[in-house]
Amino acid sequence: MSIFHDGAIEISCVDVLNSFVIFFDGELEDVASRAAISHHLDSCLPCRAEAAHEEAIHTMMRDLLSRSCCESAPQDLHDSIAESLAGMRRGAGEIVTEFRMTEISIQVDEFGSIEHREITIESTQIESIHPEHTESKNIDGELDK
Amino acid sequence: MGEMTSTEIVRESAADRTLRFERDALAFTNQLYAAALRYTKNPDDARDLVQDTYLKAFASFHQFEPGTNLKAWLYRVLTTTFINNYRKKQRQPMISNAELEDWQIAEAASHTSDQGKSAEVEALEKMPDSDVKRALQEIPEEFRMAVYFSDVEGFSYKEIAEILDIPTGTVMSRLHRGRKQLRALLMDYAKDRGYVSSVGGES
Repeated sequence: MSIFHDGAIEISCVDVLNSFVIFFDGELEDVASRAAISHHLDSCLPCRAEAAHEEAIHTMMRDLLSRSCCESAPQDLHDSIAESLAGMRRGAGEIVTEFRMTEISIQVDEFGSIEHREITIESTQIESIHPEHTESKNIDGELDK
Repeated sequence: MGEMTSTEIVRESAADRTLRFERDALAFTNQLYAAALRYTKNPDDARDLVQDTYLKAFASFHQFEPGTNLKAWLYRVLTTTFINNYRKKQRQPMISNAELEDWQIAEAASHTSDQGKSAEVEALEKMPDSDVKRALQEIPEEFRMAVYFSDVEGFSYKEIAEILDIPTGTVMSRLHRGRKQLRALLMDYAKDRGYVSSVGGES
């Protein structure tokens, strides 16, 4: 490996040919590598011909693939996705969980007196429904109005 | 200023998020379908894959960071959905990553003849869409999708790496090999169908 007067590194034909894949994708970010390739192409006729060919084929392949692979989704797929999402939007609300518990204890002591105690616990929990859970727990219809 | 309870805030943003999803994400249905066809190779599975992808994307849309690339994110969801739901039943042989490393060292590139070059250009000029699709279907999934995301969707290596959850170096090697195999297949078709009279010089 040697270095040219302008600072470019000398690289082999094989290295240049192998770098075309990233070169033509515009992904070769390393300035030194780009300079080395340009320098090589300036002085190597076969590689220059190869580069021109590879670039042309790269463009042709991209055009061919884009032209061939552009199928549109069938209308019923568009419809069914929109429908599922609308269903979820209607269901997007909240779950209200009401909890009520009464604990009753009756105690009879040694003197025969009865102690009756009742404790009631109440709680209300409101949580937003995650869309994936809406199918079975569709409660809130308010959002439709 | 009106008072807002915490539940109202949650509910409002969930509804807004749904609308935002419908507005932004549904614009990519056709593109996702075309990519799904590349993955599944048949319209029925592609249809189901896209539907599942949207449901999954919607359910995890709160994880999507607004302002980042929504299209790439959707392709990531498409890819993971495919891997989880469809790949198992397709029973496709997988390529190990080890096999793909160091292609630049292993690969012996060489110059080709002028005759070979013009034959390739001629063949591609005559290539019908159906043959291009067939060739793409024939190459391994890993190569096929790298080529598809780069050449059809125009994603950068970095974006493809994120969509496929692989290192950038692997994206490069898959692209390199995928394109090479695709070109070789198309040349085979061209010879079989007489699009080119003779192909010589490829060394």
